[in-house]
Amino acid sequence: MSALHCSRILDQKECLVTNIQVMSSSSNNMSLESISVSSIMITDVKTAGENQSIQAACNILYKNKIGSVVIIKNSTSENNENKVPVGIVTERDIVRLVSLPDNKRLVHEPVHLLMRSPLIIINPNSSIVEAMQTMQQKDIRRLPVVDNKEKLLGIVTDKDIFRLILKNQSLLASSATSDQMLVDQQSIYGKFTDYWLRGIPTTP
Amino acid sequence: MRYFLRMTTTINDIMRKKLETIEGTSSVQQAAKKMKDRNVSSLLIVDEKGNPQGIVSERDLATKVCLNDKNASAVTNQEIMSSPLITISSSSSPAEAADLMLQHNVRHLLVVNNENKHKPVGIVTPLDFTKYQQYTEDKGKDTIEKILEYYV
Repeated sequence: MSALHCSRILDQKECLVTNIQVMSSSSNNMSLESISVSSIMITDVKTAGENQSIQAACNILYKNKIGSVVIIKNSTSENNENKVPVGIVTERDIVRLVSLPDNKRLVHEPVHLLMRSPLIIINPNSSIVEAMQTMQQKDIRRLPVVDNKEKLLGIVTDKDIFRLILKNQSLLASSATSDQMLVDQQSIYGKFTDYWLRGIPTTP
Repeated sequence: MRYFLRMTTTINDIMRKKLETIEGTSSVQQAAKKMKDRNVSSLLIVDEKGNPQGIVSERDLATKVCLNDKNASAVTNQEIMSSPLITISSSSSPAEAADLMLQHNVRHLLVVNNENKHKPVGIVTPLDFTKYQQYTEDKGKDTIEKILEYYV
């Protein structure tokens, strides 16, 4: 989308012109602020109990060809009820483990020792823009969606947001309704692009 | 004129230029350490002469090492690397890259210099497609959507 792209590539003047053109050609009223996280989240989240082994978590990544597994509180139940998420383990965390000398022993340790915690979460009623802001500020790519009772409802990733924007290119433009908004929006999307450009964040 | 030239996104614009290499005969533990230290998500595997042989990604390390009860110092990169290496020219379009990934069922492409095809200049992965949005107006949009669906 040009609003995002030109903020990096073109100079200020050209950028403004492009933005205004995009704005005036837009006709629908949907915006990234009006779409809730719950409408794009993936509900089939792969989870592992905090006391399961790291190897079991690796197996979940392998079987499902995914990059992360959400760790839930003391539970091995397979249904989505009562799942309270406490952390997340990504491929990068496993790489950290593989780099250690006694990795063979460590894979049998409980996964809560490796997981990243506290978990950064988002409310299902939050907007896509809020999700983008949180991802950018916290330097992460995945946000588990959790309700007020701490129950895991789904997960939203930067890929899902990108796919949404790819399919509905008017979203970026239509969310800018005034000059002030335009500036604010641009800084968010600009930062989000920066974050994408830097790639996957480092494990602390 | 400059405006129009710049509006065409190529692989050169979205690829990861930080190309870290490691020898195929060294251990995956060393590979994991290098990935962590250099903050990269994949390594180019080379032979003793420096010729590219394959790629080892975070996913390879996470799934191929921990599941078999072997010490990572006893497994070589050659054993787990993804090969053959699929290459793409740096002047190609993101849609062409997405096509190649789908065709060969791979998530990483080695980017080579446009003039000298033996010179590796970067790596491109499906995640890199999220860097720019301008090409979403191109005809390759469907392929890029597909690749995001299946591979990221």
